[in-house]
Amino acid sequence: MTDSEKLDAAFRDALSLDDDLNLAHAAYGVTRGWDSTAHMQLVAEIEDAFDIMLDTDDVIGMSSYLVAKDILRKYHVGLDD
Amino acid sequence: MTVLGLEDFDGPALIDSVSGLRLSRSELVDEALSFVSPIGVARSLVLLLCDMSPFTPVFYAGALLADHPVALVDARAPAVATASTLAAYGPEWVAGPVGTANTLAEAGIEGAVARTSLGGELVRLAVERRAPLHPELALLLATSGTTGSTKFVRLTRANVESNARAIAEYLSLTPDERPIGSLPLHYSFGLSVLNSHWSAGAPLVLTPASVLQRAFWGVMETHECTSLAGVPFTYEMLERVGFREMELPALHTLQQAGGALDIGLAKAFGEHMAARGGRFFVMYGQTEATARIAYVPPDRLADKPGSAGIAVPGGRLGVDPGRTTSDDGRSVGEVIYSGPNVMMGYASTAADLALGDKLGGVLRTGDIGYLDDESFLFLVGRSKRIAKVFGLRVNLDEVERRLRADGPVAVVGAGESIWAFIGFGDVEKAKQIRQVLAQEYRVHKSALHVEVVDQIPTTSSGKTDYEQVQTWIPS
Repeated sequence: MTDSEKLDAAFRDALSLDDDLNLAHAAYGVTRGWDSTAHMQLVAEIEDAFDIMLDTDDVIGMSSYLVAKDILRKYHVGLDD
Repeated sequence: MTVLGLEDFDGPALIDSVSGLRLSRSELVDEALSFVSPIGVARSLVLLLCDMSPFTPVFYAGALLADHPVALVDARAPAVATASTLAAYGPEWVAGPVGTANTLAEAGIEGAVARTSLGGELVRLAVERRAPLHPELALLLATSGTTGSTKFVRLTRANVESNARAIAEYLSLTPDERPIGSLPLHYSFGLSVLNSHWSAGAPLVLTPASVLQRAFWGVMETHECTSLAGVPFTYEMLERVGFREMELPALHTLQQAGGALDIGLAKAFGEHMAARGGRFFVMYGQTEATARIAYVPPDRLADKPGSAGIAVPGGRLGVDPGRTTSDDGRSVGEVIYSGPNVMMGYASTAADLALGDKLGGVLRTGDIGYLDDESFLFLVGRSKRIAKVFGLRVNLDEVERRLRADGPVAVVGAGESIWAFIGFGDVEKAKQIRQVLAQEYRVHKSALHVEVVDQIPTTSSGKTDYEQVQTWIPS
């Protein structure tokens, strides 16, 4: 799996998203299913998928899928745009 | 009549971090009475769909002030759940976020908006028959979170006021407190933060943000919040966001209830707050007791690890001798609580709203435990088949009934997780069931495990052998 695919899989699984939902629109508190319990799961899955530990600032800053991509670039995760 | 001390103090009653709105007590009372005025003088049941915007506490206050029994549910529940509840209890009035009338119309329920206020609207439904309401019924709090019709706890004004005052007393609350609204207002624990602070002359600071969002910490700083309340999961989240490394000079009180917090975490937070001259309160309660039953005085937290505490002021704890089993020489049995905050009973249908006090102030908690020689309560288990997941209560027998239609099944709880063992289907079916349960019980699927087994073991009397099933769960 590419890094992009891994990230998408983490999102779809942790947030229990429908397959037809466009991830680019996914945002915490806006997208149904992205509440605090899902967010904790998402953070854990991303950390597992990329073998990283997210900073506190990044945990509370990860407010949407697009922001998550930005954040992960800092961790040298190779995401295509 | 004065409700929750709203007319007894000066100062703000509500601070909304999103809009910047500050309502003084008199402003809140005026707005509240205006909001409920279309209902008229005759007592009428109202369903309040709660979120964290100002209309929720304002409408709640209005319902209490004007003596209209109000049932609190989550505004974010699926429309089918709300429709079910409306069908079961038949209220003529529903209040909720702006757009509620439209959402109900889409679910086939016709209504007209009678008033809007502070992000909410009051909707009048076409109802043929108003169910009789017991004269003391004031508040209905949900006790299960499924998409089936909601079961409620029936509470009186006296229940609400007495528990609010008792909590204010043991927390030593003053009008200078600025608690952050970190828990949902339709949840007994979240509502008790509002009730207790109002009765002590303090406001609530509203925010829709969770502790996992930067906005939450912005609100904590900007409004110099003094107090934060959470369930065990909240404290796990606080750990994850490095709470104990944060500078929050105004924060001096943490409250924890809604399940047993890991002893290590309780110790860590207790020491953290003590070192800052603050307080960490571990507490125990049930919706059936309005909110709180017991609390651990912070200066005893270190020498009573794992305790649920001593009875709140005005209450009394005991252990049922009739169900005693000796355990290490102690009397262990069902915990019985008596006090002015004990509910009248449950409601499942409109007819139940006319019922009076069935319990006489004595509550069988369904929890098993013992009291030590200083009357500190220690819980060792549950007698009812109920699991606590992320602070929410899930009835395991109900989950079983739900799944039994498909085949043999045993559902058990372990820690904050639920395990369903199905004697039918395959891995795909198990995944599907897990998804359905997550949606229906509104529990994140990380707390649900569904596994296919060959057979569900039974005891000699033909009942499910839960002890055996429990051994299947990996520790």
